[in-house]
Amino acid sequence: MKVTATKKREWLIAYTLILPAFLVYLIFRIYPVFYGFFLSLQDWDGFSAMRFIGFGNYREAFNDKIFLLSLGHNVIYAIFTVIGKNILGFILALFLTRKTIKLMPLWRTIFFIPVVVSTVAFGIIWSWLLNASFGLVNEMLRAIGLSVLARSWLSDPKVVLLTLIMVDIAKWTGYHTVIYIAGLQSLPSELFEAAYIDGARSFQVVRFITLPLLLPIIGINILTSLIGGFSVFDLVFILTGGGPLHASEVIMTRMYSVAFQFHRVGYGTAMTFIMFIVVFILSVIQLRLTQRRSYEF
Amino acid sequence: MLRKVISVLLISMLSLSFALSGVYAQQRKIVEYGIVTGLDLLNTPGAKAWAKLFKDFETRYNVKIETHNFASETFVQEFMAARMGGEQIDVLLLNGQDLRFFATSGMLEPLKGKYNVSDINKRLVPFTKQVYTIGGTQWAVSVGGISSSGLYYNKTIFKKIGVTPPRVYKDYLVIRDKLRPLGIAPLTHMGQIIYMWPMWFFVTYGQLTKGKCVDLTTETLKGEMKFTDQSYVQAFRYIQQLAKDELFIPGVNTLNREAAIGTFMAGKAAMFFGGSWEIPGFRNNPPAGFDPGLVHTPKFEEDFPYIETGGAGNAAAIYKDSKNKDLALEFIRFLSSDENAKLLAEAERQVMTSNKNVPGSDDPLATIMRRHLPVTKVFLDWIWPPEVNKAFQINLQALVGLQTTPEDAAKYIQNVFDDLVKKGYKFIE
Repeated sequence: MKVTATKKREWLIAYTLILPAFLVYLIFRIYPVFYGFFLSLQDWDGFSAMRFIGFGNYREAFNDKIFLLSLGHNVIYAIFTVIGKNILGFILALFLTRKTIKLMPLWRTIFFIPVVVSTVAFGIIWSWLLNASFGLVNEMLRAIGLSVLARSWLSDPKVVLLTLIMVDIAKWTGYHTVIYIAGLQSLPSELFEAAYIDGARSFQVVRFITLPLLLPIIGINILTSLIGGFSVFDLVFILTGGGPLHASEVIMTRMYSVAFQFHRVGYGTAMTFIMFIVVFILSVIQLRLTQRRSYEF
Repeated sequence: MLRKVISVLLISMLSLSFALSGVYAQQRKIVEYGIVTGLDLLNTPGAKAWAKLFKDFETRYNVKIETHNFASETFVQEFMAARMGGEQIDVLLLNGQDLRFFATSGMLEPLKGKYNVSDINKRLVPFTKQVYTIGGTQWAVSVGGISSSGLYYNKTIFKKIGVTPPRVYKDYLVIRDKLRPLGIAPLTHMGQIIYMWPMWFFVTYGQLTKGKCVDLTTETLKGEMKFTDQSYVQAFRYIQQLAKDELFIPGVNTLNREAAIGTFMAGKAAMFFGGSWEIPGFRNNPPAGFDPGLVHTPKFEEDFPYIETGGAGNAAAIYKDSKNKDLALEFIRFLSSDENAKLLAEAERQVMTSNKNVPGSDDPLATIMRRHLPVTKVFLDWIWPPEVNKAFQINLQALVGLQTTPEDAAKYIQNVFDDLVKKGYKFIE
């Protein structure tokens, strides 16, 4: 096929327009990844000369009990937050797309507010709510006669990880809800009308029409929440710092300690690369699964 | 005229931030970076004094000061970024805790030869030079306030229950029993902030070792003792006993700084173990009826001595790659002068300054705190390597949370230290 001069000019303009953004992406996204990998192969305290140690940092990580514990916590964290955020987000989206609901913009805003609140502020608020001695959560439990459930949510190793998962879900469900709402609104209404005419019940409509059609959206939501679950740092850092005694330690908090408190930048970077590989593999699997089952309409 | 430019990298040190204001959390949130004069320091009681000091130096030496102001806990990565970004750095104002790392990493100019500071040392409290001398070389000059610790108590509550402040451990128990019907906790502490837990250890270990805690720490780090030795385990037992006897406010490990200070000032807890840096915070908008008193940290056993813990001011050092080392030294000299030390001392209500010619604050609490200085031992985490420090922090928190035993905590710390030694750690005295 012959490429016309007009086409060539269009391409040139297109690439020229893309170039600045591409350069920014290259410098601030791609280069740090490669430089990070380079750092992960070094023994470096951040100040002194680097010493190349090959995959020594990676070997150390797989023998580091605290790192492995943190990785395990990340897996649990990711599983529960992905499930929690997506189920709640989907249910909320169904509720918030019903035409019978009054004051819809207000409801949507209310559920989206936690997303726009800074994580630091959100974390601090929750640290007060969950405070064992004067926190609202325990006070409420006591008020309704469930004082047996009141506890030190953030310092009891048995519940601390679960508590963090709950707070994370509270923070990010609104974000996933918005994506589900967008997905639901893009679905063709004829299908639903036809289903209802054929006598389908609401549950059947959701199960056999909504969910299959929403698979690409579900895929996006799972992917973003999965990445969020593995890369969580701020909430954990603010609420527990990874404690007590590593009970809520996740890879990013461990990496922070190692790199910036113990001055082992190379080792800390290696930890993040291991996490990157884990997330990458899971993302590929998840994308393949959702792509295979996607429906077109 | 050629205007030289001196860049001063300012770090909001723990001690500095605490001493200055009691607005530590605010400092933690505001991490300024850039060539700005809008320092965190400008939001603190000493802010105006610092600003004046910089201005005076600029005028006197016809220079322009650029400040980069970071919170202590983010300092290392911020400094790393500044260094890699080629920012001009001439003077470092460090948390004393960071000095050892910076000195041993070759980031500082040794203060000897051309950069001899013997004239400055003459006006400083001798103990400060000792703290900032590592491997036989002085690396920094102490500026600002020297700190100590003690047990603050709420005089109104104590009057109400008719008791005197605790002197020994068993007094805590008597007070606890009298407070219980009132629903007031005996002690509060910022347990969520793990780096504050070692304060309890410093004092406890200091008492237990009859004041030899620094020497024994040095011996341990040289491998002549172990963290699993009886003295360490016993210190952990004492600290855990505080929790077992329900002396801490419920959920102590979930309290951040604001919550801990808040519970004390609001009368939800009767006592608070803390440093001299808390005094300005107690004086800043106290609630009605809040009248804090101060005594020595109670002794765990009758025959133990009173021991307190504190720091030797902030470390002012010359950055090794500074292009203006002479000017940097001049800035340090200027900063530590009698006149400027007085300016800062007054603004920050320092209990005692590193400059021996400058009297400390006349606040009644500061006057009491000054009496604690003769029995004050330097923070041991200024000596511990960061890995050991962190191990202490998390284990002390867990001990109080009753999630570990004294023996297991000691083993954990020793394992961390053994691992460090395996990787080549060597203590430099």
